[in-house]
Amino acid sequence: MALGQRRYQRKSFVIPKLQITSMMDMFTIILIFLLFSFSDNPEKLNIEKGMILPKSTSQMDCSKNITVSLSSNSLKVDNQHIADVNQGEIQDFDHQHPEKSELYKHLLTLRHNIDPQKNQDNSAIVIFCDQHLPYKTINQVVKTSGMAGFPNFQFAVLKK
Amino acid sequence: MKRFVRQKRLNDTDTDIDMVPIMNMFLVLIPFLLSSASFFDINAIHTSVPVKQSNANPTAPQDNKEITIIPVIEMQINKIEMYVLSEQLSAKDLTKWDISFAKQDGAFPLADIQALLQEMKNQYPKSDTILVIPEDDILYETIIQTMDIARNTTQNQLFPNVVLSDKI
Repeated sequence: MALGQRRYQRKSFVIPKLQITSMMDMFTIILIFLLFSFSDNPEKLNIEKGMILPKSTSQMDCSKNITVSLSSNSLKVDNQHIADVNQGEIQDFDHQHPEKSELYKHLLTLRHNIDPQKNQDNSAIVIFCDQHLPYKTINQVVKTSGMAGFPNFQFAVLKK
Repeated sequence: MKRFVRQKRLNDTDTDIDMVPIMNMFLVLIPFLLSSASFFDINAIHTSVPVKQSNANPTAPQDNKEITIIPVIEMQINKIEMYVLSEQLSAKDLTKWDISFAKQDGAFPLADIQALLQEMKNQYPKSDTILVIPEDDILYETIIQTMDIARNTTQNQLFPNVVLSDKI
């Protein structure tokens, strides 16, 4: 009797329906959000960890040229470590002779590799710089870049 | 009647929409969109350092609209000094623009500076270059804020070419 009842119960067991309405709602919201933030030109520009870019009203796009990243502890050119930065001072950087610095040599090599036929704007370097750094640190980079043949810059900023 | 009601109940079974293909599509779309989404917008401020130019003899135009000036913003720790450079203006006209803005509550009065720049632009509309000379200890963030107010107001463009320089 008991065995018959169990068989009867097993037969009547219905697979519970998964309630996916709320999941669909969530997916729809995520999808709409992502569609709005979709960019056909995703930024391949890497920002150094811990670096905070200043905010600006500038509407100009950042071109993908040579990037110089200046954070509170390191100086990089195209993600290649060039020098350490300590308390706003670029290490092993002679203020009197910037042409002896590693940064100058590296930029000069890059300058020689640029096709002179190219648009002048392509030779502008993009400077990513932490908003809390003083001008004296930035100036060392700006001056050296100018000497190496890059007088035009783009300061990377976050859109306000 | 009872039979009719039972028959109707049997026919009224809920028709479930098969959501599995939609879910599959979502699962493909979301990782794709996540990979191409940009959560921060990086823009750029175009600037340059001063470069040597051949010194052509400037002619003195009579009309203010033809005169070009270069406003200079000297950023110091406690104040901003402003003056104007131009080979087409007399010393008397140039000194008219020598103004100093002291810091107010720890910040530079950028709105006042912008108003002055607007006045310069109105008077000499052909001018498009501005020189920013920050002191060594001025923070990058402050320089960017100053560049922002020098380039344009909410309505119109002021001096879009910002040149960053050292004090000579």
